[in-house]
Amino acid sequence: MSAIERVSRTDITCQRCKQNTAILKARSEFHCKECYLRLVRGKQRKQMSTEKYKINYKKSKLGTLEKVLVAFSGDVSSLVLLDVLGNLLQEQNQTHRGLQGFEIVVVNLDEKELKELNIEVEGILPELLSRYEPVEIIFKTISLNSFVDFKSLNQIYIENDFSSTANPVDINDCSFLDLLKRCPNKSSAEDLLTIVFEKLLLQAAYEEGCGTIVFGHSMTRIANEIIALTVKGRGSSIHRLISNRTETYNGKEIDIIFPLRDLLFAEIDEYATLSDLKKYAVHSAVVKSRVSKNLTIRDLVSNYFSNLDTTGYSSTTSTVMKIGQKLGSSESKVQNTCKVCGVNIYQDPKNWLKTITVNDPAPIQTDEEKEYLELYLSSLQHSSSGKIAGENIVLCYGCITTLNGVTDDEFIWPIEPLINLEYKDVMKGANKQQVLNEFILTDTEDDEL
Amino acid sequence: MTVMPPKKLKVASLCELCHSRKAVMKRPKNLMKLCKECFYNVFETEIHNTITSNQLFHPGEKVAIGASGGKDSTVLASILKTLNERYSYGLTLVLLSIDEGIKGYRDDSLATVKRNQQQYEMELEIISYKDLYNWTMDEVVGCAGIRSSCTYCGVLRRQALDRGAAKLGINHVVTGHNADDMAETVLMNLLRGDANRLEGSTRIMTQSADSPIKRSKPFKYTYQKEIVLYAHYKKLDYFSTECSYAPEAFRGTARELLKGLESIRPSCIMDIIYSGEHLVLSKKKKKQTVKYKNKKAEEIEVNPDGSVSTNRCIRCGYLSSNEICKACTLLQGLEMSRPKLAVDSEADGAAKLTKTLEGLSF
Repeated sequence: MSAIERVSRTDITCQRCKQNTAILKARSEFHCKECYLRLVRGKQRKQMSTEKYKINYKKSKLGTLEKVLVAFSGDVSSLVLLDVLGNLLQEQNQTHRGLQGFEIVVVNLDEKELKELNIEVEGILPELLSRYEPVEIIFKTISLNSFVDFKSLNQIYIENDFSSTANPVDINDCSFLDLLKRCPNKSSAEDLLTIVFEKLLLQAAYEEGCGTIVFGHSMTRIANEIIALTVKGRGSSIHRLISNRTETYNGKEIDIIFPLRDLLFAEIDEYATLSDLKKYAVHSAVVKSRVSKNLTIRDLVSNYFSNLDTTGYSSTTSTVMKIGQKLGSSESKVQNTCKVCGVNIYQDPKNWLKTITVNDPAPIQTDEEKEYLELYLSSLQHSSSGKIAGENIVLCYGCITTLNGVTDDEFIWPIEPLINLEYKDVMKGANKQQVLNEFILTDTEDDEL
Repeated sequence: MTVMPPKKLKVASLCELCHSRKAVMKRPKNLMKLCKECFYNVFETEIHNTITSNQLFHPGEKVAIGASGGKDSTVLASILKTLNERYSYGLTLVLLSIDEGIKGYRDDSLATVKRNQQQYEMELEIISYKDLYNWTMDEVVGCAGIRSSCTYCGVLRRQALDRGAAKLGINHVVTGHNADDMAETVLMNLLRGDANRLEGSTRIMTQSADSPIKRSKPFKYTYQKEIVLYAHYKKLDYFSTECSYAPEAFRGTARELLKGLESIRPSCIMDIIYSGEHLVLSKKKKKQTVKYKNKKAEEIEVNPDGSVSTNRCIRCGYLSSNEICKACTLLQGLEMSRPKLAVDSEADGAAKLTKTLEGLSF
């Protein structure tokens, strides 16, 4: 039994309003279109029911409304989240004579080059945002190069004994994409990208004066993150990354909320279909490989949950999310902070790894073996490139295993960089000619590719 | 006939650790190319490091090895004998086997254990379900069906191991659970939402105050593939057939996921174990309500070492959190289904029948 079942019979009435004909069955109940949309929107309101998001007449006059940053990537989940929030503000606007409880800042991290998206995200925004008039929504696009702080670039190397060494690198011109291509494999790149996204969004919220960041993560996505973090050796971060929580960034408190956390992705997808949002969805033009070796950890876990849904185990998703919510921080003392991802370290991963992974050879016994060793050493002298002794840095277990495998290539990454956000220019008013200009520019970019 | 001189090895085909012998394998843990001697060295040293850093044994201790004849327990017996002699642990090692009574499967694997007994010069004790519970697994499956056979067998085996160790006067049982089993357990507990088991799923030694028998898993950080490689190169004698009754259900899906992940990230098993060691449940904040204020706190007996006394089964006297332990509960359910008269005293179980059918050809 799947999470969403279409109803083709016309004699079944909606179980909620008892008036309209039911079109689908979700959560063991028959729903018509309006009631299903209301069900999904109700989930978001439940998550954002605190006082700061409600209409406050004093704050409205003073212009000190709560600002909410919507992390928008253009996929179905973030589209649905934006639609739900937009509808809420529209309703507040109509009911309370032009007032609203909070403001929305839509922030997109530019992934077009990275994921080879089929369309620019800012190309869809003018038409999309016009659905929510007269609510005014601010839109920003941030370049991923914002993370590249040339002064903090270091070449990071994992030694045989799992200690980490960092050497400052004198590079004046390189893009974020160049750094990411030096990763050992796709999963490492995905892991590091997640870290970068979190930091860029926090910086954006800080600069825009937002007190809240909302993500469009569904229950399926959160369960996926729980398993993926476990697989990456980042189990101690699960409680932090998937909970509604408060982060302190540069002395400012920022709430992080996942309003769609109680909804399966299939349910969100159905909402997008019923709300006519599918035409705006941005997806990668690259066809995903079916060979396991070419996938990333998140892809494999996603496929796993998809299979569970089709085989009748869809309740596993909510089970995983609930147990993730029960987790807390470790009772051990915080020993250190990782230089790459900023996570608290409770147990020295270097000693842990050294105990269970021995890299010592067996002793040499025969003359023939000595000859081979001398042959190896002589060949080593010809091609030896002297490793410059660098400064020791502290990495968490997840980063050590992510970067392990960096042997031949040079891996370069910023260490505790100062983030200077680079915004792309985006037009605010939507009219036909500007839309056409935008599309023409897109065509030009396609020609250049 | 002139004998050609041995061909010189290329530098690229040498072992990555000693650089003086030919590499014969790729190590599953980190994909390094190793020779046989270096593989033995790192494999045995890692297990030794696990034993010493977790202080599993102390000198003079008597240890029972849960031996099933399979590769894990066979390699465990071999390794413990080797390390006991090399590093002078001072242990007395005993093989402890459980005979579930599955014809065509367990009798063959027990024959392997008896051969191991000769090879390793250890005592061997065999505990059978028939002697303890008056039921064999063939009979249990006949009553309860194949689907739930693992539930019965797991519960009965766990108690049988404890009883066997107690009979021999041993208070330490080691099992051959490896890193793959550990990672699988962590994933299973996450996928099933088993909060109570989640925190303890990666403990290397489990022990409770009421039970004198403690269990440990020296292979906690050892990959299953490396155990197979070690057994292969050392030419160890082991039995490799899977249990005839074991159905693959939810655990199979977790295992498939683990295999896929391992193909793209060789260290994912160790990563899952590291994560499992850091999964901590947050402490619940209990709400104080009016009706709780008047409720008297139940008196609980506290033992001198600070632990709380738990119940023991009123029937068999073994550890139980309920009045009657799980094994007795299951047996009680089986007794009601037992036929009063045996129709055929020579009847074979489904396992034997399956093997016979597989052997038929047209």
